Amino acid sequence: MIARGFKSVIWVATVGGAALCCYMVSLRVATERADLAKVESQIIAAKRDIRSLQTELGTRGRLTQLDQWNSDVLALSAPTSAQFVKDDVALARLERRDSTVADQAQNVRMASAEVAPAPQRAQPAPRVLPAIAPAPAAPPPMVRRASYTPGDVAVPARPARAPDKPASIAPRPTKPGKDEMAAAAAKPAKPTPAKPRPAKPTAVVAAAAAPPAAAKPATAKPSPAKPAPLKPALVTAAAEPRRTATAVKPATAKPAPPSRTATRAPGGEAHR
Amino acid sequence: MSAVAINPPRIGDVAARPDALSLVYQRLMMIMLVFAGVTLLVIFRLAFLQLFTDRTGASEIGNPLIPPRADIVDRNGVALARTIDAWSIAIHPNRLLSNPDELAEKLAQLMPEKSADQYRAILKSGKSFAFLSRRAVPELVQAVNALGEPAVEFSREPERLYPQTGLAAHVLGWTSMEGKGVAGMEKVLDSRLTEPGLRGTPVALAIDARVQAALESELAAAMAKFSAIGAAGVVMDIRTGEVVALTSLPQLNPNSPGRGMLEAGFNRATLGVYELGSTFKPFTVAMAMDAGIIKSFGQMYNCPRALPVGGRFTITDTHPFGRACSVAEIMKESSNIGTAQIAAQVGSQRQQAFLRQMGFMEPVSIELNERGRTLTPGANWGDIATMTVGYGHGIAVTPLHLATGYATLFNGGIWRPATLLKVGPGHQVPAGHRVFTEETSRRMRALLRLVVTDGTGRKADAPGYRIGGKTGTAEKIVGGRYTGAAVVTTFAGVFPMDAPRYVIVAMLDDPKATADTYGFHTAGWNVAPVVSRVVSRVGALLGVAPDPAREVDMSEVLPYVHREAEH
Repeated sequence: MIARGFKSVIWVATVGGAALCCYMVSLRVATERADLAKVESQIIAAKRDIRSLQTELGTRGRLTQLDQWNSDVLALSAPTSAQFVKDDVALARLERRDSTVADQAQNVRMASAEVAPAPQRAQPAPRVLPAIAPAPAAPPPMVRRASYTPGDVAVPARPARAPDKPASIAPRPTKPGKDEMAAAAAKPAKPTPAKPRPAKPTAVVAAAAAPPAAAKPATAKPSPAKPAPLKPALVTAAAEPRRTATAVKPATAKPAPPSRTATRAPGGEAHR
Repeated sequence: MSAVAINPPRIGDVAARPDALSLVYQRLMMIMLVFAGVTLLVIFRLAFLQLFTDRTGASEIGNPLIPPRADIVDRNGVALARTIDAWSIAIHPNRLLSNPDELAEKLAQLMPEKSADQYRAILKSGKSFAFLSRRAVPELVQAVNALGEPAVEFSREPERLYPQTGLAAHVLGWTSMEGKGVAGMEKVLDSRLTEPGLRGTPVALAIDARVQAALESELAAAMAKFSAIGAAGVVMDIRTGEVVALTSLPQLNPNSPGRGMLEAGFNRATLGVYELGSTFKPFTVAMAMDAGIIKSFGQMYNCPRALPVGGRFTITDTHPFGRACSVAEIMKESSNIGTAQIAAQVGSQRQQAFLRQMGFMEPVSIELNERGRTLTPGANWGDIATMTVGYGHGIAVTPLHLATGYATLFNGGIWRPATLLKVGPGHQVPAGHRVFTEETSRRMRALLRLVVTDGTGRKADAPGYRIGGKTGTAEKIVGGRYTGAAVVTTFAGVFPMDAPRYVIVAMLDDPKATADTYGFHTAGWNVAPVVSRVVSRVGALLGVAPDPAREVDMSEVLPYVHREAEH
């Protein structure tokens, strides 16, 4: 009964609700359409902007303006006919490869091989002076024995005994190459003055031509000079395990810097 | 009901009651129908609006992208003319609020093109509307707006803008304030540019902006250097007749066409006619070859130091031979005497027929309206006229005529009209008609190359581009007589000569001699270098690669050239 009484009300509510729903849908569609229209108008505006910006860019970068800038600032000129490449071969000929790191490394090594001027640096040293004193009147040079002990701490060479003779008489050792055994390094290069001097320890080391020895400080102990015959003094540097360099040399001699032979032995690279 | 209650006696009226009731019902029904009808009408209308109204407004918004006047672009799509929305500043003097004297001062400061007094007159005129400035830049609009005068009105109106300013101004022409084309291609294409269906698509011209710019800048430099009063230049594709560049100096700015129009508005390339002098000689030689008069470039002519003609006038040369000379030498040293004899052999009738076929007797064939009438001897085309026309005197044509003639001579002998519209799907190359034989066209190449390698045009050579051409120096007629003081110098050339592609014509009007030219004002000194520089700049752009290894076959001409150095 009650339901029947409210029937009309329910109908009205139903219809009203349906109408409202329809209206909502319609409203939603309208909103979407309005949004779409807005986006489209934005697109149009953007296109107009693009066009006007293109026009502005074209006007600012007009050819006469570029030409003026070129004549004022850049000073570029038209390429000459020599700057045009005719075919692939001409193009390939233009290619100039940038040197890589490997190339540069190679270059450096080559340069160093040339540079390693061991011979030149040692140039003064090879004063491979004949041990024979020019004057027969000269007293026989003293023969010394240089003992070489690699493991030892560098000990200052014992002062060489002053020669009995005047210093002007230069002892001249024979050429070391002659008998192969001597890397003439340990050979005294010049006569010392009358005053005894401590011998430099490094000299003999290189002379020994023994790589391990070269790395270590060694002591060249000039042995007391012994009387020697008139024949040229022999400098011997033995590369024995003991590494005892025995040098027969004039008493006045002090150990000289490595000679050419000595430095050359290990080779340029090793030297570096 | 209440009425019934108040009036009881009526209730008793039984007979009348049904009628009254039905009447009420009828009226109620009527009212209900009316309401229903109106409601339905409203609903239908709403539904109609909902369904059929296009609220995106595409029909109105789609249009703004289509300009009111179509763009003009060059052959590569570079914009040469565009329509933009420009600001205009106007004022309603009758609604002015501020003091007119003060405002006039301020306006004169911002827009100096009118004086303060002129502005004051406008402001006090009491008119309802007056323009203060059209085509105003946004900065000016902002500044005027900052004055705060409510009577000032700003509006947007379409404006024709030429982004490249003076570039190809004589080709493009310009428009009036109302947007109508008044000169150049703007006028020629007016209906096409404003046609609603085609406004969206730009019109492509045959002009190449880069070539045009190079030609203009080199000609302008030469014009300044030699103090010439004007210059003209044409670059043209010899196979299609497309004009790749066409300029006339002094320059004109179509963005403000009112200024300096008297002198600059004159198109020297198509409207001005000049006696172009020796550049005509190749035509005379080609006519003689076609007519069978010249069979070899070794054919000899007697070239005395002066050739008296008709008893009252003498032809002279700038480089007199004083001996017999070959056709090759006549061309190389640009001998008037030799050419006049060849022209005399060709004869008046044949010469006129050839010139008519090349279009030299009528305004040049091109789209532009600015075309000058050529000057010819007309009825007096006797023997003397034939001889002078043979070397380019007594006939006045435009530089574009000359370019068309050279194109005809070197494209195999076919004359085609010049065109400013890009050749493409909508614009085919016209068939043209034959003027010279193909053999003549081919053999002339070596002859004109000789002029550049060994003759008067040496300064026109651009290494690798194989330019061939002819110089021409013609005296100007001042006050009815020739004077040596004022000349028109021309160079007409073709490159690359071994396979001709482009013709280039450059002309200087009244160049003066300078220290550089050792006092000469002939074409070989002033206008030939322009051609050399232009070709070096544009050759590669036009697809002509420079190649020093290529050269024209000169075996037909070199044997007939007397070499001073060898003796």
